[in-house]
Amino acid sequence: MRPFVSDFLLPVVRGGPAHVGRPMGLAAVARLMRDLPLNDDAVLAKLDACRSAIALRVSPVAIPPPLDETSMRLGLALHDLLALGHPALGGGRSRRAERVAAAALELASIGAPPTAREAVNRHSLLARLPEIVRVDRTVHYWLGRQTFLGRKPPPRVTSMPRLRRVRIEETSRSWLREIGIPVVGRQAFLALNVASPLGEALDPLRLDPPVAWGRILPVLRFPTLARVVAGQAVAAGVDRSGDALADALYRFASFHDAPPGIDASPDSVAFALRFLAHIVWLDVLFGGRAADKTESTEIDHSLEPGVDLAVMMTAAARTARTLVWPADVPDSGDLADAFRTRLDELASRAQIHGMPRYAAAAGIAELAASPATARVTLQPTV
Amino acid sequence: MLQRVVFGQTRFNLPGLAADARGVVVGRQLAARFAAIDRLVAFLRLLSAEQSIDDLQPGLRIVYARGGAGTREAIVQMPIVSPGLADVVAHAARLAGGQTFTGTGKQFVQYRDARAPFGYDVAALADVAGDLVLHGTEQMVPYRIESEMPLAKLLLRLSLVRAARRGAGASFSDGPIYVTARRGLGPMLSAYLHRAAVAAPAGGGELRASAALCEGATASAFANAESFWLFRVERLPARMHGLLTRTPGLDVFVPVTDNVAVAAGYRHPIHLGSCRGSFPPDRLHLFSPGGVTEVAPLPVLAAIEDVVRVRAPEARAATASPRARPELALSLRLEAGGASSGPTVAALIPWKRVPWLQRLCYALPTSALRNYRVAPLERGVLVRASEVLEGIPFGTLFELAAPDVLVPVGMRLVPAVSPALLVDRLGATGGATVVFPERTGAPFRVPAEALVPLELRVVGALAPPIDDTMVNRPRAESVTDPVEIENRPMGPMPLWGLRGSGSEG
Repeated sequence: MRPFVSDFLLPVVRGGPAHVGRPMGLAAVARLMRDLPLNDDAVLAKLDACRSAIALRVSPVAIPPPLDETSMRLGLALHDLLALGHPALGGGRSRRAERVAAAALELASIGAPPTAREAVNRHSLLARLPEIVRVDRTVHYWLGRQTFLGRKPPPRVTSMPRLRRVRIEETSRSWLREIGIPVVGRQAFLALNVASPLGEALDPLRLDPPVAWGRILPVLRFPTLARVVAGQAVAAGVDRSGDALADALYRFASFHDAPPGIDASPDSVAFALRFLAHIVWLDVLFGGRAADKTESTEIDHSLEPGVDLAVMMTAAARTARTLVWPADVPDSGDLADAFRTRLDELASRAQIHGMPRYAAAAGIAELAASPATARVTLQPTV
Repeated sequence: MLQRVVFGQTRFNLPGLAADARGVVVGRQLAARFAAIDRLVAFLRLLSAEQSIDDLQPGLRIVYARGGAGTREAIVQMPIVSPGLADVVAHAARLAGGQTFTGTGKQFVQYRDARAPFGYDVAALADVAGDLVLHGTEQMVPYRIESEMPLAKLLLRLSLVRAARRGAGASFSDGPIYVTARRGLGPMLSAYLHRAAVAAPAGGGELRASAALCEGATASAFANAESFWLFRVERLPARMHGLLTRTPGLDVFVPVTDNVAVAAGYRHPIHLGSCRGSFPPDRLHLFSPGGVTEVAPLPVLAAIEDVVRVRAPEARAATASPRARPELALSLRLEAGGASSGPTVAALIPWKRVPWLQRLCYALPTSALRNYRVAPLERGVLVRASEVLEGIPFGTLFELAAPDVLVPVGMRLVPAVSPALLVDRLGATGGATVVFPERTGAPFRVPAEALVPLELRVVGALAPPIDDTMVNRPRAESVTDPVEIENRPMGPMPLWGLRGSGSEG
C-alpha cells in the first residue's frame, strides 16, 4: 500500500519521479484498500493536501478528496497505462501488453462521475496527466551505446567515464504528446477520460485524442463545473475554443466519436449548442470587441479563428431562437441589443466564409430543435 | 492502372502532365497524402526545415478528404514553383509516412520513385466522381473533400515541444529576447534592467532594453482586460538568465522571426521561420505552452531609461536625513497643538482592544463597513476613514497633518513645513499612509495594498501580524514539480500482479 501511494500516487499529484513497476489488476484494489489503515501517515496527509490544492482550482472544497476505492482504481489504471511503455513488457503489440491493457480497461471502466464533488475528486488525482514526461537516457561509450527508457543507467555502465569516454544524452518526452498511448491501451485511456472528464473539458484545444462531447457532457451537466469550463474556454479565447468545440459537435452529432461515451441525442445536442451560446453570452457580457470592422468578400478572413463557431451559432439562431437565447433574458434592453449585434456579426462571418459547412450545422440545429423521432406510447391492441 | 514513363516521352494520357528538362513527368501541382495528423505535422516539420513554406503560397491547401473506402485522410496540395521542389516534397513525405502525387486540377498520378525514375502516367482515365482522384500504383482512390484546415490555424493550434529538460536551467544566445511581465512586476523589472544597464562596463557588450505596456493583447475578448509589460532585451548577461526564467510572472520568449517568438526552452513542432507569411506582419505572436498571445498592433517599445520610475525617499530616510546635514536639517517632532484642526480620520486600536472593535462592527452602519479600511499591523489595527471616522471611541485617534500623513488628535508636526513638502518627503504617495503614532515613537508607513475594506476583513478572522505587514495566509501545498516516469525492474514474472483479476489469464 504505502509504496504505491508514496512512490506513485503522490508523485503523480505533487510532482517528482513516479515509480512504474509490475502492472496490477482489479484484484489488487481490494488488497490495497484492506491495507489502508495509514490515516495518520504523513504521505497520506501530503496526498490530501496536494489533491485539495488541485481541487481548489476548480471548486471550493471543504474536505480533502478521499482516497477511496474509485481513486485507487483510477490510480491503478493510470499505472498500468504507463507500464505499457515499460521495456520489460516487450513493446505495445505483445501479448503481455494486451493483457495489461485489458486490466487497465477493467480498472478504468467505472463510468462518468455521478456528482460534481465526485468529478472534482477524480480530477484532483488525474489533473496533471498532460504534464507527465519520461526521460530517456542514452549512454555512449567507447564500444557502443545503450539506451535506458525512463530509468537511470546503472553505475556499471557509467563507471570509469574518462577511460571509457562515457557521455550521457538525456531526452525528455511528454507521455501524452510525444510518446503517445499504444494502440492496445487507447480504449483504456478513453475509459479513463470518461471516468474523469473534467481534465478533457478544461483543455478543449488538445489535438489527440480530440475533445469529444460524448465524454465531457456528463460533467457539464453540473452547473458549478460548467461555469468553470466555460470560464476556461473564454480565457483560452472564445474564437479558438469555440472552433474546437464546434468541430467536436460535428463529430458528436454524426456519431463519429469513438466509444466509450454517451451517444448523441436531440437533448444532448441542444445542451451542447446552448453551452456554446453561453460562451458567446459571457463574451458579450464581460468582454469587449477590439474593433468592429466590416466584413468584405474581397478579403479572406477565413484563416482567422472563430469561423466554425460563427457558422454553428448562426445555424442555431436561425433554426430556433431558444437554442441561443436563455428564457430568463428579456428581448429588449442593452444586453439584448448587444447580443443581437453579436449574432449579426457572426452571421455575416458565416455568410462569407462558412457556407460549405452551413448545411451540416443547420442539420445539427434542426436535430436539436425538433427531433426527427419522438417517444411514443404504444397502446396494446386487443 | 499506371504505366511507367520512358525517357523522351512527350504525350501523356493524364491531362496536365509534362516532361521537364530531365525527362521527369510533373504536373502543375503536388499532392501529399497522410493517414493521420501527426504524420502531416511531421511532414510540415521536415519540409519547413528544407524549404520555405512561404514560397508555396498562395496555393498551399491542407484538406481533409474521405476516400472511396471510407477512410479520412489529410491531403496537402501545393503548386510546383521550382524544378527541384517536387523531389524535396517527395522525400519529406516519404520520411513522414505519406505518399506524393503530381497532376493538375483534380487528377493526380503517383510521383516518380525508384521503380519509375521518370514517373508514371495512367493507362486510361476513369470517369469517377470526386473532388480529387489519386492514381497510385496499387489502386485509384477518388476523394471527397470534407473540410479545409488553413496552415495558420494549424500553426496556432499545435502545442509546443520542450527543447530542454525542465529544471536544467534555460540558456539562450546573446541575441534579442522578449520578456513578458505581469503588470505589477513591470516597474520592478524595468528598474532592475535599468540598474543592470547602468552598472554594465562601457564597451560593446552592454545590456540594452526597451519596454511597452500592452493592452488588449489577444483576439480573445477576456484577454483584453489583461495587460502586461513587454520587454525587448539585447545582450542579456548570463547571470540574469536564471532570474528571468524562474521568477513567477515573467516569461521569456526567443524571437524566431520579426513578429514571432517562442517561449525559451521550447520549440514549435514546425519551423516558424519558413512560415512568415502565415502571420500578419502587424501583430506580434508569442507562443507559450499555455497558448498563443497575439499583440496587435505591433507594440511601440520605449527605451528603458524613459520607463523606469523615479521613487520618492522612504519615510525613515526622511527622519534620518538630518545626520547628513547637521547644520540645517531637523527631524520632525510631534508637539501638543491645542484644539483639533480637522476631523478625525483614523484610529490605531491595540490588539487587546480588537475584541471591542469586533463587537462594535455589529453596530456599525453599512456605509462605515464599506468605507472604512483596516490594516492589521504589529502594534494594532489601523482603521482609516476616507473623510470622517465616526463611531469608534477607543484607541489612538488621528487627524491629518497633510494628505495621507496622520498625527494623533490634538498634536501637530513641527517645524510647520508645507503639507505638499511633507507628502513628498515622507513618501505618502500612491495611496500609502504615513503614521506618527506618538510623540516619541518613529513614524511608520502603511502601503496602499495593506489597507482593505473593513467589511472584507470582518468576514474573516483578525489575527496578529508577523512582521508589521499584512497577516500571512496559510501556505498552500505546491504542486508545480514536473511528473517524471521512472521505470522500475519488473522481475522475471512481470504479469504476476495481474493474477486473480478478471482479465484473461
